[in-house]
Amino acid sequence: MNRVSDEFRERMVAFLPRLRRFAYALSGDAAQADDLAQDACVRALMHRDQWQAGTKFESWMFRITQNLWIDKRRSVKSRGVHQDIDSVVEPAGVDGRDVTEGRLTLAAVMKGMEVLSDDQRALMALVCIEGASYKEAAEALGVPIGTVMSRLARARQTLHAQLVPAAQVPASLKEKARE
Amino acid sequence: MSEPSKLPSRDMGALLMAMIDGEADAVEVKRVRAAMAADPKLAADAEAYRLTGRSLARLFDGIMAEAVPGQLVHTVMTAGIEGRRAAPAVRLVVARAPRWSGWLDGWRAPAAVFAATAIAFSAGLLVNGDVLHLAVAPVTLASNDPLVANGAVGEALSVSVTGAERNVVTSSGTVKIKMVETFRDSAGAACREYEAQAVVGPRQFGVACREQGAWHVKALLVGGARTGGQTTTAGDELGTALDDIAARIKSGDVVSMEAERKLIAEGW
Repeated sequence: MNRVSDEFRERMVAFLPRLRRFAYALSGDAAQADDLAQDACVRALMHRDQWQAGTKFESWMFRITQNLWIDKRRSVKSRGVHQDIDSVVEPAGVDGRDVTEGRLTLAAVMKGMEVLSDDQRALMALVCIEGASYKEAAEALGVPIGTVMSRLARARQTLHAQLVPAAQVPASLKEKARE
Repeated sequence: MSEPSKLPSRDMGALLMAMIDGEADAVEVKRVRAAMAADPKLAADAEAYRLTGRSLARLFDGIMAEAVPGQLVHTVMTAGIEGRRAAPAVRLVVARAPRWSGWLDGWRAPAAVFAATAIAFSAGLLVNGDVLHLAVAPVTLASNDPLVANGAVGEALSVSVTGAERNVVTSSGTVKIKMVETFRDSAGAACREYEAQAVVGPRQFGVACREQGAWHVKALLVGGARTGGQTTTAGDELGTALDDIAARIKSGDVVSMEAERKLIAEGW
């Protein structure tokens, strides 16, 4: 492993919360997310020379993480890890039916994420969770912006379709409340 | 929430997404809004996509507020460096504490906390954790390969007076660095307690002492990520924890402002 400055390492440490969040979004599992984040850091440190100052460090790290995740998925030939909905961090919501609705929606979103392809999930994580621009997402995933847009549209529509049943439940709850 | 509509055209579908993601220009936004006004189904889709985005963001808020596991920080700080020893076999507490109650539960076990910090210091160290749940993982570094603060933190340690907040623009964004206190350790070395906060990311609370012309980091607590402009309580607790650690290093009184200015002027 080449020599890595402490400054570079500190920068990576500062980036760890976001890296863990991205890894969590990809894997849907907290333990796997930490393993993935750690593997990504080690790989990045090993290939420190491949990152050029002036280019976006975050995009470079996201790309390494995404590639590692795809490699892992290929190696186990499985369809991902299923998240226990009960273990999802609950949102700080409000009282009453809104809480129920919120939980249903969050649980459904988590479920919906599992249905997405790896590429779609990575893109949703980058754009909707990390707030990356299309250009940044394209850079991180190594695809053209046009691909980002079309892939994102498909991902959103897939996720949306998954959420429809969840949306119907709150509607029925509202009906009950009126009775 | 409605069924996804068949968008009027592929172009409008892409434009709708672009508008939601803030990627559409003013002309495109106007075009999409006109289409939405004419097609309530399209407007409903837009709202549904926004809700999905918000839900996704909320879903992962929790992990940003968690302390980063000490082992992960240790790996980043030491991977590939010859001479740095592995983390000690005794890992005092694991970081992912919110889902279990450990045998060291926050400050309710002061004796154990003291033991943790004492062991960490004797190892001469990097400490990381979420003090609310006391995720402390001491990391041992070889004595001839200390953790040295350089870059933005090192510069702030050298030139900032206590209480002053220094905004440093780095390639990863603006970092605010604030000196909390300057004091001397038992060997007479000047030490400084500091806080560093990136726009996005965890807060760092550190104590560094001036040795052989460099700032050697004696303790580093990382955690309390800031989300949505708010700093989590964990961050405040970490600051309190570092105060406690600094008190153990400190020998005698805090360095006065006048003496501090002189030290800065003379290059420590």
